[in-house]
Amino acid sequence: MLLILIFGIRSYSQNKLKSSEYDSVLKFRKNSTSEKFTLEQQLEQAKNAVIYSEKLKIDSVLIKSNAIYGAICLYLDDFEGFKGVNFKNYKLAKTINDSLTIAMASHNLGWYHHRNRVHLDSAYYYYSKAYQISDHLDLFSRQVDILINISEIQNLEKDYIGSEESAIKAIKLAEHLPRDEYTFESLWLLYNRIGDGATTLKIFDKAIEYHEKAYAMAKKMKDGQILQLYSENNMAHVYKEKGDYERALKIYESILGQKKLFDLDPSFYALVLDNVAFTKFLAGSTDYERLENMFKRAYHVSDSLNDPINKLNVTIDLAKFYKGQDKNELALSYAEESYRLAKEISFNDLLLESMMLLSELKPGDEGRGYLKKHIQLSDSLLAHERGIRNKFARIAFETDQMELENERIAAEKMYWVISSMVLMVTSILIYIIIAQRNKNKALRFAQVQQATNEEIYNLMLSQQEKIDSARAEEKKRISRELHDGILTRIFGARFSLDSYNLSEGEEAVQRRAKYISELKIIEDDIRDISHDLNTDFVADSSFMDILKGLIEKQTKVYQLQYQFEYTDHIDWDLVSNKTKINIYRMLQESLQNIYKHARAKTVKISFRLKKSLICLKIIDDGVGFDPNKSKKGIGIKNINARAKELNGTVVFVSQMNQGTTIKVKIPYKT
Amino acid sequence: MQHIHILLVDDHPIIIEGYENTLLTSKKENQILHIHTANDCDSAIELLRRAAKEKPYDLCFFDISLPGSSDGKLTSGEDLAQLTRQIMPKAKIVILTMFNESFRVHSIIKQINPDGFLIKSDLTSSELAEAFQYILKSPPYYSSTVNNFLKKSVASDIYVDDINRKILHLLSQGVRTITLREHINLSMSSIEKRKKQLKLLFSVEDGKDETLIEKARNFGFL
Repeated sequence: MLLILIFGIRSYSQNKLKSSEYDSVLKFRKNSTSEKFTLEQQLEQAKNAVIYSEKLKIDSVLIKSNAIYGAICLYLDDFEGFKGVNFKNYKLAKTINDSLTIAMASHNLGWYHHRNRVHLDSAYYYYSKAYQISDHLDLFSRQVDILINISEIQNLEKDYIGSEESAIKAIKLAEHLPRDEYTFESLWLLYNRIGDGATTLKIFDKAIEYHEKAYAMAKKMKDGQILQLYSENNMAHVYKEKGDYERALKIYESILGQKKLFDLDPSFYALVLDNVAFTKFLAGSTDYERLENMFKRAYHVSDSLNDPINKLNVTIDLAKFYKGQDKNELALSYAEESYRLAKEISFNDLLLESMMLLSELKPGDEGRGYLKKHIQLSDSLLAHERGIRNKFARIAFETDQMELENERIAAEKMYWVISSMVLMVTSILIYIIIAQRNKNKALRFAQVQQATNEEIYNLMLSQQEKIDSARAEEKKRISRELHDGILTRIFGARFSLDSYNLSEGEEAVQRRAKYISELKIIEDDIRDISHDLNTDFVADSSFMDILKGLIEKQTKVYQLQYQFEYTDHIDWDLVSNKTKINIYRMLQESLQNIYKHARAKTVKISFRLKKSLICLKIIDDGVGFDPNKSKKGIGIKNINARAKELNGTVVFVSQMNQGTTIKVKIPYKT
Repeated sequence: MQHIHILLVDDHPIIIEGYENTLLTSKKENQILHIHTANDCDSAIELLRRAAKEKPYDLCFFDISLPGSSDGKLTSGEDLAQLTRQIMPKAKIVILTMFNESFRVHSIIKQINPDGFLIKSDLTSSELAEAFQYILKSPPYYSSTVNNFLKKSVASDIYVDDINRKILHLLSQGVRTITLREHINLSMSSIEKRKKQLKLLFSVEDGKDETLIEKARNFGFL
């Protein structure tokens, strides 16, 4: 049933897959990935593929077309389009339970929200979904990617502990991945993330440990030079935060000492430069002119690179730098710039810092205003953080719930599978047992048949033996008769004739006449013996004798009168044993039936030969039966089967209370 | 005048008639024959017993196959001959039989050692007349078939004892080896052993009973 259903669906889809629409879908898809076209043209083709796929109404085809379309949207930075298509796929995949597509689409949707930075909780939601499904599908690489993103989101939302947890989970999963450049980079990201988190939480030893790990990972990479430098920078940052300015500076300077650092990553160069200068300032360096130059260079580089974050960093550092020298005018202008920048890019941490600076630098109410704003912002941030963390916890909880549910369903499924397997095995066993039993039954039946057949065969053999010994006996008798009777009498006649040979007279003539007539008598006797020899008294009667024996025995037991007639025209020696055995059985079966059911007094059995057919007729004067109505008993079935085996026919003629006649016709010479 | 007392025993009256006629017509002038006849063992026994008391027979002619005595003790002419040897040792015994197989001939000679041994199939009335005179004067007289058998078995180096002769005889009669035991008071294994010996003796190579019988017949043992 299930098989037929599946087959039906398949053939149905296959028919559709042969349609011209599907051909055009394939064509459009091909064009959409062809490099002959511009991206815009490719987008157009992909759109067409989607339209035709929608016409086909086959979800799997549509999903694939959508995925292609989504990818091209991404190339074209059409993130909204990308989101829309992925959302469609997400819904579609859910209806047809296509887990892989659900995982991919939710990963993409997570990425969209992640990138947008607006609804990080949505990103977190989709990532969690994608992660959970990937977990079921054992997609380790995808899981690691997702976890990296999740941990980043958590980090962004200041859920450092959660971020670290996700990162550690990802690191564990990464063990399953091939040790290639991509994996190393992922691991670097993860170690770095943990290091950053630890730095923020001021767990410096741990921070150093993880940054070192990240550094080691970067070293394993072919193109890991810049990552190494980042790690070094991060380590220096840790030392700086820790207050170990000497070590921090050492590292910073070694990074700055790298040739071509500026060419490699000017933004990073600016960052390091700023860090060196600020660290030196923190360390109490009084070479203000040089430091100022360094800050200025960092500021210019950031400015020219249009790198607002870096620029913000530098301006804040500059503000602090001037403030430290009591150059309040300058400090204020940089603090104001940083406030503006931070607001522009909504970098809350640094915004808070700039507000703090401003509140300190601005006198009177204006300063207090900034302080108030600072407090308000940090309060709202705190509330937001808490809210987000709660949200994350809830999503995680829901996913856990789903996980549990899934586990329950899986367990249920497992039980189903196990119980249906047990059922199947049991039914197979039962089937085998029944089949075996039937086979045994058939075998036993065959054995019984064999035994009875053997019995008849033996009967015939012993009959043959009897005939043989009777023949031998007869031979002996004739021999004795010839020897003792004929020979002696011939001798007597000859001898007497011989003795009267020479005698003459009336008496002698009379004597001789007597011996001559004696010779005549002997002649007759010899003729008789010759006749005896010629007619084989036992020939042809053997099988009939067996049947006669059977009939006599059965009718005696059943207390029936019987008449048995048979023709001499059938030479039973020409009839096969199989036929004889079956005839014997049929007769036996019939007699049994008559005894069991007919309540007959007499039975007439006859064998005739008509048109090369052996005709066996069994007539009883019992109660009879309706051959058309009555359910056929085993006896009648057996008789039918046996006749069929001999290519013969059976006719049952019967009426209620009118006795039964069974007519069996079997080919004589087969 | 020579008075000769004679007993003729044969179950066929016609044969007795023939014997009587031959003897009476061929006797010498000076011979007077007193002939008694019997058709079965019982009457023969009666005659013999009476004669033994009164006047013993000079000559007894016995057929071999005869209706046995009513007490079942005597079954054939052989038995009558042996009885005669006991009760009238002087009587000369002549066996007249249809049996012409070597085995029977040998066993009769061995058991009775008759003064005359005539095979009916050889016999003519003149031979009987000749034999009669010969036996009266200088027995024994054996008919030519008997003589041939005796010559043959003497001529061949092969010695076959009575039991083996009987085995050969029975086999030649078509008795099967399995039923030999009913005729010979021997175990099956010893019968088989004897058969093996016989086959060796007559150098029967194919091991068949037919070949054995054929060879034995050629050598005159059958």
